[in-house]
Amino acid sequence: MGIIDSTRGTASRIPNHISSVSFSTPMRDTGTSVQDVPISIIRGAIAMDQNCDKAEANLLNLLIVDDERTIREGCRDVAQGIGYSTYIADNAEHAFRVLDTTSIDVLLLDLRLPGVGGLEVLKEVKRRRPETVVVVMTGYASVQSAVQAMKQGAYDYVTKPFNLEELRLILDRVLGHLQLSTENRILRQQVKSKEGFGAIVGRSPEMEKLYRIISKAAHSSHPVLILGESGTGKELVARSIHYSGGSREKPFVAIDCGSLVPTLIESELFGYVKGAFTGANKNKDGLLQAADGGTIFLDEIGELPIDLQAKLLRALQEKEIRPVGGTKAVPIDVRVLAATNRDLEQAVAQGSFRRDLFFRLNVLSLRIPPLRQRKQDIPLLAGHFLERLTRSTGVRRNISDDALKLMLGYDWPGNIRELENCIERSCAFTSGPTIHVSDLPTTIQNWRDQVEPVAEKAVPRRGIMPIAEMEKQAILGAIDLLHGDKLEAARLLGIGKTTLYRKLKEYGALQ
Amino acid sequence: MKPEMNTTEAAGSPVMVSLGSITMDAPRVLAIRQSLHELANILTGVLIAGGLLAQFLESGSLQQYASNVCESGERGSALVREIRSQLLASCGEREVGVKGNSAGGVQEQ
Repeated sequence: MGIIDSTRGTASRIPNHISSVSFSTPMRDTGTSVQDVPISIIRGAIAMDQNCDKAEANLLNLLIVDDERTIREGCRDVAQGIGYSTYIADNAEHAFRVLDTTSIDVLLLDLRLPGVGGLEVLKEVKRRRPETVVVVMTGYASVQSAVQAMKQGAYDYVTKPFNLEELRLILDRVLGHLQLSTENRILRQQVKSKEGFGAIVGRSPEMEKLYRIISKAAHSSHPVLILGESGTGKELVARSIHYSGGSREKPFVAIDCGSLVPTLIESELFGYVKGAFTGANKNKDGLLQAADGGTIFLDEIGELPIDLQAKLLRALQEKEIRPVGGTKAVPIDVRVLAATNRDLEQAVAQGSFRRDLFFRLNVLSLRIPPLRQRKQDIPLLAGHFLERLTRSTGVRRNISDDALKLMLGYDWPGNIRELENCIERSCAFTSGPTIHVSDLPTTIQNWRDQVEPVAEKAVPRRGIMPIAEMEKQAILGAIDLLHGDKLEAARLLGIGKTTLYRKLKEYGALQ
Repeated sequence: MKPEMNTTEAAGSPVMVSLGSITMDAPRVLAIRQSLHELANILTGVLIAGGLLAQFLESGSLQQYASNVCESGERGSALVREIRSQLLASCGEREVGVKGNSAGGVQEQ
């Protein structure tokens, strides 16, 4: 008599409580079709499973085909404990019936079955759904049968008798294999997506190369140093690495080392204990702790003060932190991604950046190309920003050929951020559905003036100065007045230090 | 009644085999292999159910009984493997590793 039994496990695809076991208690132990009630048994406590429906969407379907009842049921309970949704059948015909109605991800198959043999079932399963992972079980253990099964597409092979641990090992391995192949498939789809990689937009060869590196970095746990000019999207790349990797469910915490005063960075990164300083009324976890199990992104790492560099290095090496004012070390488990637009090697040579920290962070490094080196992405990026504005404003706009031509000729020192700003500003300025040259920011229009013949230049009206020029004069004037004190200039101008440096770089005034 | 077994795996067995000082014909070898297969099935059930039980009981004297079941099951399994190995060797066949292999290749003992 055949048995078709479908029961659900309690865990998600990732085994997170291997120590727990999920049993299914048959309502009728008659050997005929049985509908089980899933019951979770965790550390001896018995409770009805409340999370079945929630977990169901993430479960892998496992079909166990064996004519031995004790093996079927034992395998089922172990598999459910790992996180599989299980189906059982005692012969080939019943297995086919399950396969007709259910998408089976994994098949645990006895090679020696009554009637149609296991190899026939294997052949049929591979014909119907080639991606099904098949693990064959047999009590014969001859090389001949193993080779035959492998040739027909079995993933693994286990000889009877096997024990609980051996079974778990195999099921865990299958889970890992499926997880990896799913991730690879998702990554391949992301790489081949219409516009780019995940949230990153760009199809130029430079970006394709970058996507390949991101894919590799995502599957590693090493620190990554992301290099690129301001506005190239370093944080977006960091997010892509985190969200494409295995820790995507864990936190991604970003901190801009360039925008915080040194004392604040220390307490933000490492946390503090009550009474550590004035205003520390209670204990506070640092960001390195908050990112536990996930990723911390240290933006503008080159701006980190040298004394904090030492403390960060110690935290990364020892995998523990000591909160400000605290005496006890707190263990941390975080992946570090760091970014900078500075030449860190030069900073190391100048002594403003620790060599040991540089080597610790520079295990993997990737450089994001500036927009001027991938101008073919400009129409795609512009279209992406226009589309986003259409979604938020409900007004659809396009760019005239002349405006696009000018945009393609411009060097975009502010990179993607400048392009995004340009599109937003142009949309705000234009009165119609099309963005014309006159709607573009003055800097871009002036760029045209620089490259086009004098005869075509528009005559500037006396007394009117472009805002960008005013800004430049204000910044350079302030630094001059303060005898080169850039920090004080940034403070008095009401802008961030990072912004000030970016502007100076744009003006070619960065020494 | 148990339905008829598929016996394709046994194809190619020699007519006579020698197991130590005992000489057996192919049907007898086949019968022993089938018995070993049945025994392996029984022991797998014992080992898995015993393992789950040992885990469920966690500690105490009852858990000790469950552990004893597993221990005896393991000893029985070792015997099955030994007999099977000798039988396969006498048939000129080789045995694969006990545990599964993730690399896709077949481990030979």
